[in-house]
Amino acid sequence: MPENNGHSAGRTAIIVWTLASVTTVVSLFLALSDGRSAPVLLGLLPVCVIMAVGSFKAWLILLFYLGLGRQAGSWRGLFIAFLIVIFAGVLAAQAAVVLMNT
Amino acid sequence: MDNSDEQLMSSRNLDDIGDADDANWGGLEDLPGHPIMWVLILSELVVFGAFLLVFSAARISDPIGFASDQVQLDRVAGGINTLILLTSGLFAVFAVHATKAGDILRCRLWLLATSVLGMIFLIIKFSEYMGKFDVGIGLESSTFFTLYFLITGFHALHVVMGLGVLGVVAIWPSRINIETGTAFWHMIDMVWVLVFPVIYLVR
Repeated sequence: MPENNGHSAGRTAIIVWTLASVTTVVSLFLALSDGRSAPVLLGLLPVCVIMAVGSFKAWLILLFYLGLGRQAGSWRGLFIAFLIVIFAGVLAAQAAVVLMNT
Repeated sequence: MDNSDEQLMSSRNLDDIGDADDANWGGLEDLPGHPIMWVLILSELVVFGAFLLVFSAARISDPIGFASDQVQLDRVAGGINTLILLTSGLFAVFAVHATKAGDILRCRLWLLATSVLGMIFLIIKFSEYMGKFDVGIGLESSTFFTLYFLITGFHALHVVMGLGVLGVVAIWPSRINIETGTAFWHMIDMVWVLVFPVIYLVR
């Protein structure tokens, strides 16, 4: 990033932080809204949303905090593949849980 | 060297890069910070990724038990810690901007603010652990808590190491050092935003 672009980059970082913080607060609020007293298993869709939000934040950090957005595509692809594997793994586990409990 | 290479090189402080660009790192030398840090970041992500997949696989065998144990976690504390690490990541970005602008004092102040938030993260995590120990929950209480303490403890250890790295680069605040140190901090941040939903929210 060019030196004279510092203000723009700072503004981008603040937007990214706001986006990530708001999604954290919303997902926490949704997680708490079902009450804490009983252990309830979630369906596939809520888990998909929870993991999508988490992966989105990780993607924001990769691109805008770690600075991979403007770098070599192959390395960025590797990091994004890592996120996809985690996302798919957790979702597959939840699918197994849902199937075994229906 | 083509135009894009020249633009990239001119955008960085060549004096700071040192030997990093002399070696062929397979493209890692184009990423911010020292290439060896990216090798470390990749290996750490593989380790944490394996942890999270093992946790998810273990949950298949006892989903009700995992959900019952998860209810005892403090989700609010976990969420606050997520916000703290996200904010510390923002401050680390500001530290990099300050060093690019040649303002070492401001860079050090941002690194200090980043470190303070890292310490607050550890205090909250420590109080979470103490809360569990006080009610008799420990490492061997259940599979869930074994993995909970293992994964979050390993992550907390990385936060401690990250604080050390930030301290070192604050003493020698060259651009490559700051980029390298903050890259490690962002890795800690990124791992936590994945650990938090998997351990605290998914059930």
